[in-house]
Amino acid sequence: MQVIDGLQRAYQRVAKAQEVVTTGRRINHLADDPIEATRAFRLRGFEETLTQYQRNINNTRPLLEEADSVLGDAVSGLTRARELALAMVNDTNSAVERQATANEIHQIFLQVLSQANTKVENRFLFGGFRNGAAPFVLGSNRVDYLGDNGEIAIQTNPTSTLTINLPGSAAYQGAGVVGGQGIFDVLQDLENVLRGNSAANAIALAVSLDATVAPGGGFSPPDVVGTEAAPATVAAEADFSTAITVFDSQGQAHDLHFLFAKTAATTFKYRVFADADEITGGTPGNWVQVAPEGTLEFNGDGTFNAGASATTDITLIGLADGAPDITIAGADISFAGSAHLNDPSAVLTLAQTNTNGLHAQIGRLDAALNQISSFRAEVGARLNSAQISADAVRILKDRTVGQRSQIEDADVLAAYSDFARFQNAFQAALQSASQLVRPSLLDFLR
Amino acid sequence: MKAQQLALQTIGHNIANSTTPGFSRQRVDLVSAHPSLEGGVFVGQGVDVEAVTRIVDRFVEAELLGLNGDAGYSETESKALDSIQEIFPLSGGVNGALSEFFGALSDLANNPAGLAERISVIAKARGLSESLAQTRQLLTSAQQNLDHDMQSTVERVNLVLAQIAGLNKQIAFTEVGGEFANDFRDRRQTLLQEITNLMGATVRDDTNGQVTVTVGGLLLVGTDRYASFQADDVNLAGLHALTYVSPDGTSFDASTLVTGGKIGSLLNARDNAMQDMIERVDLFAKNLVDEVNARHALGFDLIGNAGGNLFNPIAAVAGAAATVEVDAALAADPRLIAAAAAPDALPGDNRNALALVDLRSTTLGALGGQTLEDYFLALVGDVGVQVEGAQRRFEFQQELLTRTQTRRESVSGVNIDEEMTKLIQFQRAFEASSLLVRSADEMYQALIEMAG
Repeated sequence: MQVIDGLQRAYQRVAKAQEVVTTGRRINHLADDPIEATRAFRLRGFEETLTQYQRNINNTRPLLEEADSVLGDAVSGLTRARELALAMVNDTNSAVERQATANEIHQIFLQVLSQANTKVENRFLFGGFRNGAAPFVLGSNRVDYLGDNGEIAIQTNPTSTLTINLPGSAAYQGAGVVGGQGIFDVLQDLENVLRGNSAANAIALAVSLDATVAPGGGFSPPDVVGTEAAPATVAAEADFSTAITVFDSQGQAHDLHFLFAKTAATTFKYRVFADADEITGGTPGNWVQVAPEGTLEFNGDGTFNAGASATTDITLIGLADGAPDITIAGADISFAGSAHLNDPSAVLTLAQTNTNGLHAQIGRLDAALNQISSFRAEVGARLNSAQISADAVRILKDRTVGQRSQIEDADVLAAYSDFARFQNAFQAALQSASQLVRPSLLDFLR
Repeated sequence: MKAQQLALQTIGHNIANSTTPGFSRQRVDLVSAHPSLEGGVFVGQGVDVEAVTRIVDRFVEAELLGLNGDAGYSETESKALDSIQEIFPLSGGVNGALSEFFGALSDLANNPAGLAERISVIAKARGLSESLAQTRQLLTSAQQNLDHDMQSTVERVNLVLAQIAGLNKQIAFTEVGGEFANDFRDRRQTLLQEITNLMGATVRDDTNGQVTVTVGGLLLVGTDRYASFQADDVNLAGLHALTYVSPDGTSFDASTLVTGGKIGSLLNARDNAMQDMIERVDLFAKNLVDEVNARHALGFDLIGNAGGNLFNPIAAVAGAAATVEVDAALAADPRLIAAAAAPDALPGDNRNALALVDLRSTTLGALGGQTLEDYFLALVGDVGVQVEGAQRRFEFQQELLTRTQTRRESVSGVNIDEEMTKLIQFQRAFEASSLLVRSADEMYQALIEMAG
């Protein structure tokens, strides 16, 4: 009985050793070593997480690399635009040259715009979270941003995440950036300045007022400063209105809208409005009055009676970028004489521009270049960080695999020698058992 | 000569039973017959058979009974748990499925607008639910198997108890006449070993050669009366209760009273170890579904609606693992997976997907401050430790039992060599006796011839 028991045990040891040798694993059943088996489990789970991180990192790469290349192209475009603008600073250039330059700037603008709508794997790079459709759309005048400022984070290692996108609101629109520039505005304004081609320093307004308009009660309600409906809808009280583009000290263009109302035979009131988002960062399409209401008095012969008029400086308040307010001195506004009073059709004949604008535009271009370059550097840093994460994760994974292998995998040499040893022991046991069982008195009685 | 013949018969009996389990070697105790006084001299009257004795070491027998109970317990425990450990494979399984599920969510975070990623999340969620259901199914069927095993063991118990009572009666009947019921005692001993193996019973010798068998304070056999068990009543968990029916017919639930031997082990494994594992798998499933749904509901789907359920909500913990299912509407339309954290940040917003992935490393109060993964790992580790412990106990008990059996064999077992030696001895003695008879015969012959 003991003999059989012993043999069975020896055989079990052989079978166990054989299992280890054939599977190459030290732990084949949970109960072989439960503590180590759970450790191996945990390590395997960790390993899978690390593999996932590697996948995540690999996923970030095409996006960041593409962003890097797009921003690189934008930098080239802006640099080229800057060179062109510099060449146009002196007034010796002909209007034709300026137009040609403006055309080239326009091409750069289109190129930068189309690249800002780059798509990688069906995702628009610069759309923030709203990356399912092109984020930059050229409206009637300005480029509108339809994305948001969402930053898409991806887990790249156990402790940190990596943001894989640059929302266009920051990179291209300058939101949240000190001295931030709207890249497209800069290019458009530069183009406009070049096309304007005027060397005048002062803003000269030539206003033609129609004498046939019946005198009314002026504006009502009086002097409400704040958002108003667009000028078109207040036309009932504004007999004449028009838009004029001015540039602030940053070179940023603003459209000013003048509203006139005839209060008496020779007396007019006027108000100046601008689009709220350009002045106060408010909602586009809302209009903000930028200067107190003024009155204009004309003499019987149609000449401007400066003494009787109450004109104020027009001040652009609360500029979005926090730059100093700009002022248009009342003296700069010149009104043409009576000749126009009898011309009902012409409202305003001259919008202005100036070469100071070009200088200002170059300043803005520099700021824009800085902005794009720093975002590009940011992308480079992220690519670098992705690489560092990838390396760290790889090392961590190697170590984890090593630890797990140490737990799970059999030392093949040891396993085989165990197997051989146990097999020998088993055979020896068999042999000795046969020796042990055989001799009996019966053998000798025959 | 008769004595020698009896001795030879006993040897024959021993040899014939040398492989009978539980058989105890018997010995003919010979004494020289009372001498008779003849002419002032004591003259030997030959030999008398005093008794045919079972050679038994009572302490070893008692020890063997106790060990049998432990061995029965540990063997059953080891076998029962051994079958469980394969339910929790070393790779894959629920853990693997959970890991894959989180992996798919992570892929979704990488590309929240991707339909392929969304479909993959649903597939992995399904895989996870199937894996959970399968694990629970295997656990319950293992539990059912233990239950069936218990039922069939009960039948055997009833048979053995009846036989012991019968043998009790025969032994008392035989021995009251001064005879020795050696073979009955051997058979009863074997049955006693079996009953202790089956339910860890306690055996007490009575004065008249009978035994009283009890378990957990319940009388199983007393004199020729015996109790029985039934396992027909189904309890709340759909398992069978162990009902004790006393010799006088009163019956009650003894499921918690029988704690030893095979049945005790089966009951313990069924109602404690297995039940505990099933409950832990259920708790895991319930928390998984609750947490995933809670986080999912905070997000917004690809259409811009607030997130619904990812899994069908589960009301109760009990049975939770069997009912984990991916929400049907969501399974039909992968866009309903809420990867975004805001309805106007579509389709690139991956924040809620990240929040779902984050669940992987979130500790949950309901799971004792462990993450989902760790909780399940702890369960798996626990299964491993239990199996290992049971195997070790089984090996130890088995070894102890073997050693004690060997000791019993060395006392009570039949050694063929010894029996052969005795055979020859008694043969010679018989031959010598017959020689004596022949010489006496010849002497009588001579005497008769002389007289004739």
